[in-house]
Amino acid sequence: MSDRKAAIVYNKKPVNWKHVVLHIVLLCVCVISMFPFVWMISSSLKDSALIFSYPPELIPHPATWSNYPVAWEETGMGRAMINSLIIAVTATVGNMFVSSMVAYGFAKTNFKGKSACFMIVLSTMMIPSQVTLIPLFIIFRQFGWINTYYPLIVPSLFGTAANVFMMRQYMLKIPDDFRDSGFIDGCGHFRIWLQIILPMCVPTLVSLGVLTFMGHWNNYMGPMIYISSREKMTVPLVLRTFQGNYSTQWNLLMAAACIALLPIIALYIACQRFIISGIMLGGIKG
Amino acid sequence: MRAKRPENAKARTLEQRNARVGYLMISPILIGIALFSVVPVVFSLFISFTDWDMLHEQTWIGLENYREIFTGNMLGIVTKNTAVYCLIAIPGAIFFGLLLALAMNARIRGVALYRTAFFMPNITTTVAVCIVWTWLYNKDYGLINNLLNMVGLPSVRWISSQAYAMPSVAIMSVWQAMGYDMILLTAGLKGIDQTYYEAAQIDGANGWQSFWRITLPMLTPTLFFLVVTHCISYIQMFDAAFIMTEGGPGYATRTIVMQIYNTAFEYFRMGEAASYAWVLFAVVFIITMIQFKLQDKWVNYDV
Repeated sequence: MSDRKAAIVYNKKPVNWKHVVLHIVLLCVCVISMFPFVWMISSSLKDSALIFSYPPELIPHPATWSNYPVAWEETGMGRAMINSLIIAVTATVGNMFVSSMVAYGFAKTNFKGKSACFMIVLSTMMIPSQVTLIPLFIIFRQFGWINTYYPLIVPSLFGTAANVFMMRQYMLKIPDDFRDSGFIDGCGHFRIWLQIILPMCVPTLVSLGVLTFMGHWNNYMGPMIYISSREKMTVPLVLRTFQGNYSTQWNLLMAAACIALLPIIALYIACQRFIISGIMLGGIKG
Repeated sequence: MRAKRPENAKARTLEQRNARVGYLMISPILIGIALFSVVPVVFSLFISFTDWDMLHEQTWIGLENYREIFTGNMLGIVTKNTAVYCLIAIPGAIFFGLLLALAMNARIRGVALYRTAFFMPNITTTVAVCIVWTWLYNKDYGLINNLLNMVGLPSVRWISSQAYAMPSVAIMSVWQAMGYDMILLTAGLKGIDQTYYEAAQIDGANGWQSFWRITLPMLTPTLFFLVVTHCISYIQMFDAAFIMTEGGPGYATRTIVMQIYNTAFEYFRMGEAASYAWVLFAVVFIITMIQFKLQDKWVNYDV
């Protein structure tokens, strides 16, 4: 019965060959996009002999699960994830809070020199971070901040130009009536920002927040320059160290990479909608 | 008349108070810029005129660092490497991103699933995916060479030969970036008014003509944005080459930023490193300016 039904539908609607070709092309690119991850998982389940076998096996037989506990122990990944989380959460929450306040200042208050200040903020986006890298290292060293998380967190607690810009764009679209109704109720700018405008910006806040979080989590150069002791290292750093020590034990390296990617991929799948709209926010200014 | 005055005065003070609040609210970022941009930029310029290893006395040597950079051969090497990387990775990412965006725009099933897959490489930790790609590229046991051998082709020394190392890193970057470009270009495609296509169809244009005459010109603002932002970030490439090849073999994948890093944190020649950073700044600035100058020639902002 269901077969006949399907056949009828099939007859009614002939195969769209254009779509079939498109699906084949997209599936091929899908394979290319995903294959490094698939191969990473496959390699992580092989023992040290199977990993070098030729022809290569996609599904390892037998699967060796013991690479995971070894990689977890040897990298100290648990500690590193907590470290990365501490840095990324503190920096992101602080940054979103301050950036949104600055964005409100630019979008909803009036003062002399506002547009000049805004231009200054935007122009700092052009300075490559390498120009400030060396002097900041020297300054932070003077503060005694080497091998602490301060250099990785404190600069973002003052707000970042890109986040301020995008949040301001969003706030400009909110009618001023909302602000003015707050005035009538006797609120000042700070309360209007915190209690009226900020709740309206939650989707944008989440989008930019997730992207900021991922930026901190994935950051390699910053922690590499500032963090030297093993127990303070972040996820990318311990991975890199592990790569240095186990450069030919590919099964262990792949298991470590799997473990390192798991939280970020989980976050991506959970927050995909916000991430995509965050990316688009960045693109719109073009 | 007299009754109005206090009201006016009050309004003015309210305005003034609001202005003060405005300054207060934007003050964090201005303080941040002063502390983490202005002071370091000035300091960096000063360092670039000195000879300094952070241990001994800092000595003023004027333009000596810059003279050394421009007469030495490293600047040429790292600039060439960075240029090779940019010239493969930027057009590659945009081209494949555009292809994907066009395919995804055809209102087919499963777009969300495809998007999840295409964008995944972009958000994953570069260090981790670089380790995976190092394994894929391995000259003896890597999957890519295994597959080549299985169809009877000889192995390629991907990241272990001077000739292929930088292109190999760039291919990895294309893989990583094409999903990002796809998302922005999809948004660009969605923004094109369908009536243009209907009008073109009535005029008897085929799909190919519609693409060249409507789609591509209408996408130029997005393409311009991608070219400019990719140039700025790819000229500063560091992570991928550092993890996969550490700048080698030889100097084959040493980029401008890696040169800055090595000079500063391996050789502790802070003055020279700061000078390299300023050369990098100049390069980024000039290329961005040229692109903004050239945008009238090809970018279409009519609609």
